[in-house]
Amino acid sequence: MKNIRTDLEIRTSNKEVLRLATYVQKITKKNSTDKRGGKLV
Amino acid sequence: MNYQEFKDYIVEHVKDYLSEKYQKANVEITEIHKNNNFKLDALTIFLPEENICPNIYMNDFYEHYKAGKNIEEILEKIAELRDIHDGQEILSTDDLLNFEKIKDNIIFRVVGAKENESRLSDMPHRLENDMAIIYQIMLKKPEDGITTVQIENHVMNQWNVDEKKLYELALENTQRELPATFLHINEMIKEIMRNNFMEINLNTMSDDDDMEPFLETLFQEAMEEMPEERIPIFVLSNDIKMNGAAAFFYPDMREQIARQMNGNYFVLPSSIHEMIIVPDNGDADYQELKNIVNEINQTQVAPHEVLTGEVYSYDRESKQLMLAGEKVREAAGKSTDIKGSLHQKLKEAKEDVKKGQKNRQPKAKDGLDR
Repeated sequence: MKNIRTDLEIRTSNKEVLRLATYVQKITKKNSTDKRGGKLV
Repeated sequence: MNYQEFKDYIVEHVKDYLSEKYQKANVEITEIHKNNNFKLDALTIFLPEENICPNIYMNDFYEHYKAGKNIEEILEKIAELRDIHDGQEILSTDDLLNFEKIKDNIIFRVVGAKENESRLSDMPHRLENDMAIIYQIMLKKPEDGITTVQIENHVMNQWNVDEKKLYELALENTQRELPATFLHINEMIKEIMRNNFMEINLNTMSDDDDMEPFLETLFQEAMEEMPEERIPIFVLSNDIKMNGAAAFFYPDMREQIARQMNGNYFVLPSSIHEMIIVPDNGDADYQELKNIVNEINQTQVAPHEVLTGEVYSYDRESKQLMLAGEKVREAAGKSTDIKGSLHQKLKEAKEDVKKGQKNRQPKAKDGLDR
């Protein structure tokens, strides 16, 4: 059988935090500026 | 160093950081097609007597290097990873073909179906809306990463099992090995930061470490900067925060979330590592949420970690998960049907009235209806 390459994935916490924080920021912003006067969530 | 020079330097010097047994190893970097057909550069350090070896991806390490990390530290880390994730300790090629030996290690993960269409033709999978569940063998689950082998059709065929069997096993194994976590997004951010604050895990620090009180204070101060307002945004992932979007497909998970959210909810595929859950109170604009997902996909998510660019809606009553856009169109269709039906009835009623008037006309020569 041919050689097997296993896949090693490493956590990159900085990216995770940045991604989640951006969601908080964008949803919060949309919530406060919703044109219909309602809230996005 | 540019990226090519960086890769050449790693290949040339990595053995200096490895133990004696690796000195005869074959070191090379090859391009690997990952999720969403994105290519990454994988370093392999194959020992002559072994036929299994981890892919150690160079792309992220180069980012660390550009951000100012010392090249010696990077080489030390690569050498450490190669040692920790020595697949030979856990799996031989014979083991790989022995289904009974491997079956408890079969797990699933979720990827975008459209973006991985060509890859999916080579691997057992099942579709869930525009997502696909695929299967892997999990070899090791240390704190900072996971080592897996992708299950392709030819391996499944050698095992003489079908996709349904893989699904049943993976469902049980994945929720046991990678239990789900469901946290408010603020708590999730705090947890990730606590685990990796200044690259030091505060949870595993010993109490007698002199730095502990100082770092804890620093961490608390950083956390105080977090917004106070608690908008209901939740994150579903797993205990290692890797490939955690799969947790959405654990048995009864959708209903558990519905109970927690106390109603219908939107699912935002923030990456293959987690799903973001927000309530669907009936008047939220899904298109706005979809725009947010796509913008963040393009700016904050590595291309191979993007799940999809859609927003999904879970209906508690029908227990159905569907694309939010489809749900809106369906609702609009029903509304049009109702309007259409009312319009038709009104038209018929008017025609009846007209007919009635016509029939009655001869009776009243003065035009007055008596």
